[in-house]
Amino acid sequence: MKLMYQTCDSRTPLDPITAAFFWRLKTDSLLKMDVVPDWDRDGVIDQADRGKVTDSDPYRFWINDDDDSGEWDIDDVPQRGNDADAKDLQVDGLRDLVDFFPLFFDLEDFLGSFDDLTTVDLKLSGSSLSYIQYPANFDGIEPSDSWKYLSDLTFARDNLADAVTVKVSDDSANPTSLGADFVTLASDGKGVLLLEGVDASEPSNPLVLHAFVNGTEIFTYEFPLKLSDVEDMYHHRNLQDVAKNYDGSDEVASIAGESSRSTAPNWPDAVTNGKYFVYLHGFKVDGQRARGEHAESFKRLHQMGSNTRFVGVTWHGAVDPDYHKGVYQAFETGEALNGELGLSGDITVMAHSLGNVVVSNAIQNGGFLPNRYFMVNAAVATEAYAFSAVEQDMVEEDWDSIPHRLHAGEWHKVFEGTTDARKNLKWRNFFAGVPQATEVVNFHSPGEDVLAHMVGTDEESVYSRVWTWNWNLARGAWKAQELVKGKSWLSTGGESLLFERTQAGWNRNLLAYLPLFTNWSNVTNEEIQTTPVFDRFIEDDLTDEDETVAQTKAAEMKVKYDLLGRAIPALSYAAAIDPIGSGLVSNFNMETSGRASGLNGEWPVEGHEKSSEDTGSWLHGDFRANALHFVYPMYREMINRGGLDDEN
Amino acid sequence: MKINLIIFTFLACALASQAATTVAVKVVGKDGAPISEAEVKVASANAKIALDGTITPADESVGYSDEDGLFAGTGYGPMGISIWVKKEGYYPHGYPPAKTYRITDKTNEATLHETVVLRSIEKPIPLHAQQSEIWSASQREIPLMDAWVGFDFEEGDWVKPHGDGKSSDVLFRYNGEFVKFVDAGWPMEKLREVNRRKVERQGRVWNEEVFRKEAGLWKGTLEISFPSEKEGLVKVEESFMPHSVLRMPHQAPEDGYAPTHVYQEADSEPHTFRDDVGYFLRTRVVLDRQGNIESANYAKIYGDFQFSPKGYVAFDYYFNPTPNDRNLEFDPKRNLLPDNVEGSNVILP
Repeated sequence: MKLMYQTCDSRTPLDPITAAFFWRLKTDSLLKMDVVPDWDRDGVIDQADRGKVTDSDPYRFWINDDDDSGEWDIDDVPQRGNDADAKDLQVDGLRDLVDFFPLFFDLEDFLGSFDDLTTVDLKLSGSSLSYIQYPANFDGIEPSDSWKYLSDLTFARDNLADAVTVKVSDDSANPTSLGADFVTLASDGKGVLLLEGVDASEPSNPLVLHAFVNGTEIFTYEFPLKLSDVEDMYHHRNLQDVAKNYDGSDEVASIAGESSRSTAPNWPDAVTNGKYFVYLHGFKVDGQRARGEHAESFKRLHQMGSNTRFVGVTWHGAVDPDYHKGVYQAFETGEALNGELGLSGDITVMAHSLGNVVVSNAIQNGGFLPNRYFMVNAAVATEAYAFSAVEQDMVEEDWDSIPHRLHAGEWHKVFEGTTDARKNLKWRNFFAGVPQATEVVNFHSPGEDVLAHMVGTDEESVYSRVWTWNWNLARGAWKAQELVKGKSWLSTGGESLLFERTQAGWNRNLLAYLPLFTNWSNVTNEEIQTTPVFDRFIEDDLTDEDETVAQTKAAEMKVKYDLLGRAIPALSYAAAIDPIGSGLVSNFNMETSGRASGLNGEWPVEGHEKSSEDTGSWLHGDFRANALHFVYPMYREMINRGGLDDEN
Repeated sequence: MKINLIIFTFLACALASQAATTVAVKVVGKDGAPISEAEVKVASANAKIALDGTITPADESVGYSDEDGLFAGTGYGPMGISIWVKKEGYYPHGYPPAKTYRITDKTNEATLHETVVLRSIEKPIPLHAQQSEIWSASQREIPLMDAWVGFDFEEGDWVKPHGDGKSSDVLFRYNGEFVKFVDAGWPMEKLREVNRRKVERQGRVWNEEVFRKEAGLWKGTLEISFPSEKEGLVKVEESFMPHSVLRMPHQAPEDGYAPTHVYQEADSEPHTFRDDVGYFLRTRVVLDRQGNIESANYAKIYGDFQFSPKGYVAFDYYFNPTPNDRNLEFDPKRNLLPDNVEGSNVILP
């Protein structure tokens, strides 16, 4: 870098151009000029950010090659070729702004020495960059408020969301002028420019500021910069081949994810704080969609100050519409997670939706002991962590008049107080060890759609859901899959045909217990041990009269996973929508605490138009789908709780 | 594809046998008088997603109540029907931040009748308002067990020496008792070891006392009382409207205040606190020589006081600092607690 804090009377000889420049200024005073990024990404460009960028440790950022739009979106897969956002020379909606970085051209001192700023022109050259052309009468961005473009909804909507971008010239002999308005902003100390990376073909060329006075270039200033694909900034583990079918055969993902990566060339371990941040997606996310989730999660945390080593995990949960199979595979993946990750040190893990079965089982049964665990819209019944009571509304309507002790979800009670392994065939407290082993924060949303309570809905049939053909995305889908467990295809109008191993659950054993001729209070525990009121398990051994045979079968982990996924209904609502009680888990209500302040009721319309209940609500995927402007406090909460922004 | 065909066959049968439900909504004021020209929206939870991903929004009827306060909307209802009502000059019903008003039609009747009460916007004022939630970072640890501790609504803190509070608006006394360790599905040695590791990694000192609090299930009692005569609280149950943006009546009542209230909780049992009730409180009472109230301040609590037997309490309160003003209709844009106080971002009036 040149000229930083140099003065006229510096003993260092000045090159002719620089000497001419200082001669013109006729000053002996310290002349402050600098080009400063928000190096620590704390939302303030200040002294702490100066002098950090060097040739050997350049500013690192990703190229803007996903395909964002609007204020809500669920894509975010990088490497979109001609659809890449940086190619179209405009900002592609609010969500695109996370792909820009602020750079402060600290030229107030320099420009303050000119009586006539029209004689000054600031130009840029360098490869692979564009900047946002601010609209007329733009007030500028203060360096002390450098997150403003990501946090101030009104400001970003009015000035930036649809703004034009300008490609920076790659010809240093013919640099791109930033225009007179930017010179004025810079002279007011508001010379913050928002830039995006266009491509990574020449990733190490510096950005060069050219200062012209009366058409003569009087100095240049180099800003070392390294651009890359975003996937070169974090690690990846592909665990898609971990989960097997129940019979042990391979379960092949139809859309494969990227190969595992244990390095991040453009965010090497040396520039991190050494901590790990591991992210796992949910159900119905294939290998390519996982790339998008990883990329967007990394970007948001990075922009909000995280200095961790980010690890995106792809697992095989894209088995829709068979959600029950997804649960089974989540359990299996969880058991293997710790070994597959192979991490040590300070680890924060975040999981979305069904990814929480993976992580919770990894902790409970897989030896995974992260320092902290952030559950986000978790598709796991709260009773799995801390049981308090059966929600009557989770009881299928055909069973309303049958005592709880005869339900599949309560069958374990027959064996309570014994060593019989069947006492563990329950969701209740299945993950009770998790909050003991790690600091758990349940990021939940009362406005959830997919895991909504659906109060009053306690049956699952063709009349209620299949005809809408919205099994996986609909309001109440999670509750529906619990209510459909075990149900026959006749009673559900075909819905259960979506599931490959239907058993037990809410289907009645009509051969053994005739509906109109059974006095439920006379049915004994001894009877239901071998002949439950609910339909048979596929593994007949579980009800074998020889208890040793039954216990041996029940102790198999894959049997437990199969039954929890397919045969044992949860009897509480999910942690995605409710706080987990008993004080063992810390809860964070995203509806009330995760929203940005000053929204004045604003919330994305797109993605929230399926029904009026969605309007204004924090839905299942909003933590990632909503533009950062709406939800950034949630990410800040994670960063604060995990010390993710600790310096290296 | 075979499965899809089967499903579509059933679908066709199902559709043939289904009829829409009409919801007749009557909009009234708090005096029961009909309110006309209120916008009423009746929507079913039956959005459709086509195989190509195209979303068809749910059935929705929108219109205005007539001079009898009536509007009827129609939709397909087994998955639930929600109702929203709004009119200028009134607090909306069913809209955020109020709870959604949702009904489920299991009656198969052609018409369902629902009455919606709208509360008018009268005189929103600045108040000290703070929200907190049990089992979250905003819950408050009760400083002492088996001793009365005061809480100052105006300061939003425990009374000195446990906080910066100056005057006790309400007193708390709790007792907690360890019952047993949680069944974590692990041997006790493993539970102890993983918990010790967790606590120490958080930079805290681990010992048996910490372990009992971390891994224990507790039961306990929370007593609520007041420092002076004629102070107390009154429960709001019938007139608590969770679906209205203004959940409780505009003003605290003149009488009916009880001097004490008790909660009993156990970690292993369902918690007893409800979010469909509230309380008005009378505090800082000054009596004249005849024992009549000369001066008093009023407050309200949305929901029950939430209590954890491990020694935590949480409550959403609104406090009017003006003596003898029973108005508790809060203007969320004018919270008297500073922005930097946790829980001061209160959006319900």
